[in-house]
Amino acid sequence: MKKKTNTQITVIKSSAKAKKELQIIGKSLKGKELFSQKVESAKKILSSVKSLPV
Amino acid sequence: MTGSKSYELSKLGSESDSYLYAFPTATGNYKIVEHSFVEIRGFRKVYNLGFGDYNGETGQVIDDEVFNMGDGRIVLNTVLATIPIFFEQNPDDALIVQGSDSREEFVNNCRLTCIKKCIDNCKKHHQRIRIYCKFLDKNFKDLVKDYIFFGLSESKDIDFEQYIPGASYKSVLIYKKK
Repeated sequence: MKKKTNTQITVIKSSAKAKKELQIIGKSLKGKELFSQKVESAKKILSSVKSLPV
Repeated sequence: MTGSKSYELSKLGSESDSYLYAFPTATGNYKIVEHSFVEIRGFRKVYNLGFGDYNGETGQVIDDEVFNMGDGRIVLNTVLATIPIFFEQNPDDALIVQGSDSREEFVNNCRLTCIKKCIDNCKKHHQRIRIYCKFLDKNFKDLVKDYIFFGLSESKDIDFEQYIPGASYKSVLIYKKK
């Protein structure tokens, strides 16, 4: 099933089965550090820059 | 972005240090997007945008190998659709976007298995951030109405500079305009 949004993007709707599966996945991922390497990389980037742009 | 497609996003959770989203693809894979708190700089909280595939067998999220089955554009649109949602909730904060193939160790790891046999520069290094930047370049005129973009150059680690469409960056920093 597809629906048009006001920004002209067609959203491909998730099936009921997929939504149910997503709820299970959400519970299984709760509290886990999922992208620790990327967060570390972001910390490294921030530590190397003098300051964030204003 | 007229005529674009995206998958339906589901919000899986939000805590003080992360916002978690997911979506199923047409081939039955599940993609995970997370905005994770990194640190506070000045008055801004800085978050990182993470994206990867959910592996149902291991229960892990893999971000160093992303599997797109001809729907890469739709997946990209869906990942980027989380950015306005982030800034609705955190209008004064900042978001860093980088590719998992921009890590320093990526090149050495890639050479172990890659069939391209690049001699000097690894062609896959920074490939993902280039895809994000290509999207940004294409939609820059529209996006700068609401957001401010800065880029961290591929070749130097000095500071974020004002984003210039067409230039090469290894990381992009996004603010929302007031």
